[in-house]
Amino acid sequence: MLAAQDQPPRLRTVLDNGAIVLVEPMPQERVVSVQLFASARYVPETEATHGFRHLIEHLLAVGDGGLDKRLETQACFLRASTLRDAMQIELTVGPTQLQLALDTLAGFLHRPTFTQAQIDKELRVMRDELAMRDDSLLLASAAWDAAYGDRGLDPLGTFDSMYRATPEKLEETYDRQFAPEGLVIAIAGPVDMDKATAMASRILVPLSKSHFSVAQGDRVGKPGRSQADAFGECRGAIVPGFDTPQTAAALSAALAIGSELPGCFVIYTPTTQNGLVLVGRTDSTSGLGFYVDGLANGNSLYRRGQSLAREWVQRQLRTASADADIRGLLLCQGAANRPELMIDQINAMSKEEFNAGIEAFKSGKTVWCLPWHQFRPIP
Amino acid sequence: MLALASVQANPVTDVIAPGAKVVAVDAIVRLPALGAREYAAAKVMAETMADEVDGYSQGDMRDMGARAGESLKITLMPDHIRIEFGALPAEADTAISYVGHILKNSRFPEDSIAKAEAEIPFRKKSLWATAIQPVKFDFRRVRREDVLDMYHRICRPENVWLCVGGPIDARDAENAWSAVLADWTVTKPPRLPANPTPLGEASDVPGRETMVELRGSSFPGNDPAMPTKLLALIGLGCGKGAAMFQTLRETEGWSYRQEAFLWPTPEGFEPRLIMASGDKTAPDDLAKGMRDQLILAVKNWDASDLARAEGMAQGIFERGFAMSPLYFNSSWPISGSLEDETFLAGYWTMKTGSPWNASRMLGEMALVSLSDFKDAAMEILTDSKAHVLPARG
Repeated sequence: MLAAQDQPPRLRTVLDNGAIVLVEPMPQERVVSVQLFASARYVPETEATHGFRHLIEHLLAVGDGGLDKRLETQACFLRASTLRDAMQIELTVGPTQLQLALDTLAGFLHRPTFTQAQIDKELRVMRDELAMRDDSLLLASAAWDAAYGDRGLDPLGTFDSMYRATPEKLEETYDRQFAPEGLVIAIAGPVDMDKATAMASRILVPLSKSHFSVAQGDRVGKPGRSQADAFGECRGAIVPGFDTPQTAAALSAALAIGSELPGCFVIYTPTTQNGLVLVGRTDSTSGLGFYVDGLANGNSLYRRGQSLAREWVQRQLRTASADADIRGLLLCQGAANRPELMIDQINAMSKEEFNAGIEAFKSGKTVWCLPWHQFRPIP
Repeated sequence: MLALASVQANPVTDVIAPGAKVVAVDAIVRLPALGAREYAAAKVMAETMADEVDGYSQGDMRDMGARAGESLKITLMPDHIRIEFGALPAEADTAISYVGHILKNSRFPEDSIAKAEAEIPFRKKSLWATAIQPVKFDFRRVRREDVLDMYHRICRPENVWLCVGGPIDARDAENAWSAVLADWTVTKPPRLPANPTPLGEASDVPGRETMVELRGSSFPGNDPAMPTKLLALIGLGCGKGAAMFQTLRETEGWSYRQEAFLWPTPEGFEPRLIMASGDKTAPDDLAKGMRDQLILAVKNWDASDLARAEGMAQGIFERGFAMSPLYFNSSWPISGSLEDETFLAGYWTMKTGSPWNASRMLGEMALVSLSDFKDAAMEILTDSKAHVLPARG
C-alpha cells in the first residue's frame, strides 16, 4: 500500500491496484458522508452505449428492493447519480455507522446479474425521468452538444439508446465503470482518519487491477449556437481543466454575471478535461445575451466575481457531503487533483484574466443556447 | 423581547453557530390570506422592494453579499415573504440594517414596477414548480399605489420576524435590529378588501408529464397532532422506503418522481402528495388509482414502516437530509443549511407560537403508536381532494 499524506488533517491513500481512499475528519459535522466514485475513463458515452451507465446506476440503487428501507430505518440515506466523469454513490450515515456504509458500498463492487425484465421495468420509470428534465438541464445538455458533439453526450442518456440495453451489454459496461484503478472512496465527517482509511481500504484492496485502456483523448470544444427544447437562454465558456487560470476566470465571470441578473443559474462540474462553465436563466428568454454582449469590460465586477468564485469552492469544503463529493470526483480523475488548486487560481486571477473570462461568454466565443422558437440563423 | 416604546416588535431569533463562516440574516413578513389581485401586488412588491432603498446602494450590497458568497433573495410564499441575506461576521450589523431598511425605506421606483409587471406574467415555471405552486396571479390593474399599499400594510414591526444565524453575539443582533426599529414609523394599516377575488390555479403543466395530486385538509400550526401528522407524511412520501416510492414507482411503474410534503397556507398547513406521471391512464383514473393504492399500502403498514418513518425523521431533522417534508421555501424543502435553520427558527415561531425544536419533535414522534401513525396517514388520504394538472404537451 502506497500511503501519501495529503494536506493535514486529511489522508489520501493510493492502493496498489490504483484505487484511492480519501478521509477527511470533520468533527463538527453531524453526519459521515461516504461516497464511492467510479471513473468513466474506460466507458465514455458513445452513441451505441448512451445512457447505459445511467441505467446501471438505477439498477444498482434499487438493490434487492429492501435496501432503502433498511437504511432509512437506521436514519441513513443512499443517493446515486451519473456524471460525465464518474458514477457516484453516496451513503449518509451517523458517526457510529461507518461500517454500515462501507458494507453497503462493498455490495456495489460485485458485479450483479441483470435481467431483461429488470431493465425493461426500470426503463419505464426512466422514461419519466428523462421527460422531467428541467430547462436548465436541457439548456446545459444542448450547450454540451453544440460545444463537444458526440464527445459531450448527456450522461442521462436517451430512451432510444437505453432501449437497446441487454444484460450482457450492461455487464460489460459495469466492468469498465467499476475498474479498480478508477475507484475512489471519499469519507468526510466525524471519523478517525486512520481507522476510516483502514476500513475503506479493506474493501478495495482485494480488487484486481483491470486491463482496460483509455479509449479517447481529451475532447475539443468549439463555440457556436444551438437550439434546445427548453425555455430560457444559456451561454457556455469553453474551458480547459478545473485547475487552470481560464477556468477560474470563466467561473468568476459567470458568477459575477449571475449576480447582476437575478434568477440566473451557473453550472460547472470540476473536470480535468475540457469542459463548460455555463450561465443561464430559465424564467425568461431575454436579458442574458444582451447584458453580456453589452459589457465593455468586467472591471467593476472583478472583485465580486473573485469573491463569489472563491466562496463557490470553499462552500463545497464546509459540509461532509459536499467535501467528499468534490474531492472524490476530482480524485477519480487523477490522484493529484484537489479543489484547493481551483482556489489558488481564483486568488491569483488578475483583472485582465477576469476580463478574458467575461469575453469567453460573448457572442463569437461562447456556446449560446436558445429555445427552438427563438433560434435565428447566424447572419 | 425587545423593549421598545414606539413600536410593538417580535423578538429577534438567534441561531448561534460559532463555527460558521458567514452570518445569515432572514426577515420573515407574515402574509394574511390574499385575493388574486392583492397576491399579485405582493409578488411585485417582493420583486422590487430592494431595487432602491434609502441609504443603500444596490451595487455595494451585492459586493457585500459576494464577499460571503451570498446574494440577497426575496421570495413570496402563500403565508410569508422571506428576505434572505448573508454577510461576513464583521458586516452582520450592516446586513441587518440593510434588511431593515428594505422593510421600511423602499422607494419602489415606477420603472422597476413597470419592468416587473411586464416580465413576471411571462416567466416560465417548470413542471414541478407549476404543480407545487399552481397559483395564478392577476396582474391586471395592479398599480404602484397597490404595491405601496401592500408594503405599508404588511411591512410592520409587529408583522416581521427577524432571525440571525452564525457566529454572532445575540446582543449585537438585537442592538442592530433595535436601531432599525427606532425610527420605523408606521401608519394605520390600510384596510383589506372586503371580498377579494379568490386565487386562481393553473389548469395544466408544461411538458409531457401529468401531475396528479392528493391535497389533504389544512390544519392550524399549533395542532397538537403535528408530530403524528408529520410522521405520517414521512411514512407516505419521504424517502425511497416510503409508500409513494414503493407503490407508485416500484410496484405500479407510474412515476419517476413523487413527493409528500407540508405546504404553508395563511391559516396553517396543508398535507399534499404529488406524483408526475407519463402513464397513458386517464388522469382522473390515475388519481383514483394513486389514492386506492396508497390506502392499501397504509392498511398493510406494520412496525417496520413506523420504524422507517422514525428513522427518516431523525435523518431529516437531526442529520439534515435534504428530504424534508417541510416545504416552506420558495425552492421547497427546508435543508440543514445555516440559512434554512435560521429561517425555520423564526418561521416556526410565527406559525406555531413555539420555536422549532428538532429534539422535541423527534421525542414526540417516538411516542406515536402504530395505530395512530396509520390513522393519521389514512386521514390524510381519505380527506384529500384530487387535483390533476394534465400535460400541456
